[in-house]
Amino acid sequence: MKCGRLVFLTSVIFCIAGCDSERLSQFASFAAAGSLYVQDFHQLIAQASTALVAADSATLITARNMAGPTAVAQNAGQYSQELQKEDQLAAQNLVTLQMLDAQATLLGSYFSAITQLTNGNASSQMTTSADNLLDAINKLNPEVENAKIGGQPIKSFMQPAVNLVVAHFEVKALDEELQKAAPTIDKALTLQEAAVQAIATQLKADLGASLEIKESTDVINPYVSTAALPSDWAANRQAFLQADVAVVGAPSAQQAIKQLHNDFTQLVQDKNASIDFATLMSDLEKMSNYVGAVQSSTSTGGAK
Amino acid sequence: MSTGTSDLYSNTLSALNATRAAMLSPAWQTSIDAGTAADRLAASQKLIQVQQAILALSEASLSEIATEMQENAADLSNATDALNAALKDLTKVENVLDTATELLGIVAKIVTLV
Repeated sequence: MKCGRLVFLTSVIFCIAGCDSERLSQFASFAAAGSLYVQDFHQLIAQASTALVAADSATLITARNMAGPTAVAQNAGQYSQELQKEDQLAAQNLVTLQMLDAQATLLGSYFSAITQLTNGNASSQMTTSADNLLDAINKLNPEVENAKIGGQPIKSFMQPAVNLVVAHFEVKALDEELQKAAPTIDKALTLQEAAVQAIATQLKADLGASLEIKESTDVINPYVSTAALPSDWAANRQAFLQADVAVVGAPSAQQAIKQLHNDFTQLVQDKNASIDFATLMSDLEKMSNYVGAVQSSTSTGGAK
Repeated sequence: MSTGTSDLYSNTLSALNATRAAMLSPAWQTSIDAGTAADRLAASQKLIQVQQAILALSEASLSEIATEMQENAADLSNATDALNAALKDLTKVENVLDTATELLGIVAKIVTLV
């Protein structure tokens, strides 16, 4: 009988230790996936900024070519004024993208801090560092919520908030951190979801504008010109067609952040949830491919 | 802020984005090349104004311009419909420029184009 109770007790202890260890491992995996997402998001913001300026510059170049340099010079005062206005407006749009980038940077740092807490040897310095990051995210969340991309406030893309009920975790440092941090991180991830959707909409419009120019300058004009076809014409045409296809890949980025957010919610609310990290990693890879395709289309130039 | 205002806003921005794309297209370039120097100058200036309207609307706070949007709702709706229809035939340069001017005039009542 004593032997039976001992086996039962050992099994329970083993199970608690095992479950806890598995949970910590899942948090570590989530944090690693979160860091990957942040890297991709930084790239997405960089491409959105590049596409915005490229579309703006392409418009200005086309407007100049349309009127002709002589007409522009004859109306220099007016064109100078218009150019200054446009610089000012474009800069305002870039500020919003930079704010989103700052939020992602903080999230990335927070994910790194969480990774430290999952090893069970958290120092008070690590906890303070995580708390400072959390405060910074908390301060930035309302600004991000009210920021606008492509004319729409980020909050207009947000799904209705759900109150998180944070489960109790055996590792004290992680448990205490999650009780404090979960609502803020949940809000930040909700904002990231909305931001990715808004950025994708704007990117599509900006890349579309640049691609219109690219088709003229790289594909049609050289082809109908009396001059010999440039040696890179076929490559340029291929780049144009591939860039055109890249524009439609945005849903992969939206799916990646949605999955990351869902997994976070499950992790903090349900100690026994089974997280499908394979799907999350696959979604992140697709997002990475989309960002790479956008990068390729913006780096091959717009108007010439 | 009503859904109607939000839709109106999205439709206006969408029409302006479509106008920009059309004015950057090879088809528009061909039509403009066939016109006079004055036509090309007018088209050039209109393209810049369209781009400025896109950037200005993108930065405007919908809650702050909701009243102005509603006050000009009927005109905005008619102007975006007319512009979208005009963009279907880029050979009619004057029609595209006139309908774009009409929409830009209404947008200027709603947001400051710097």
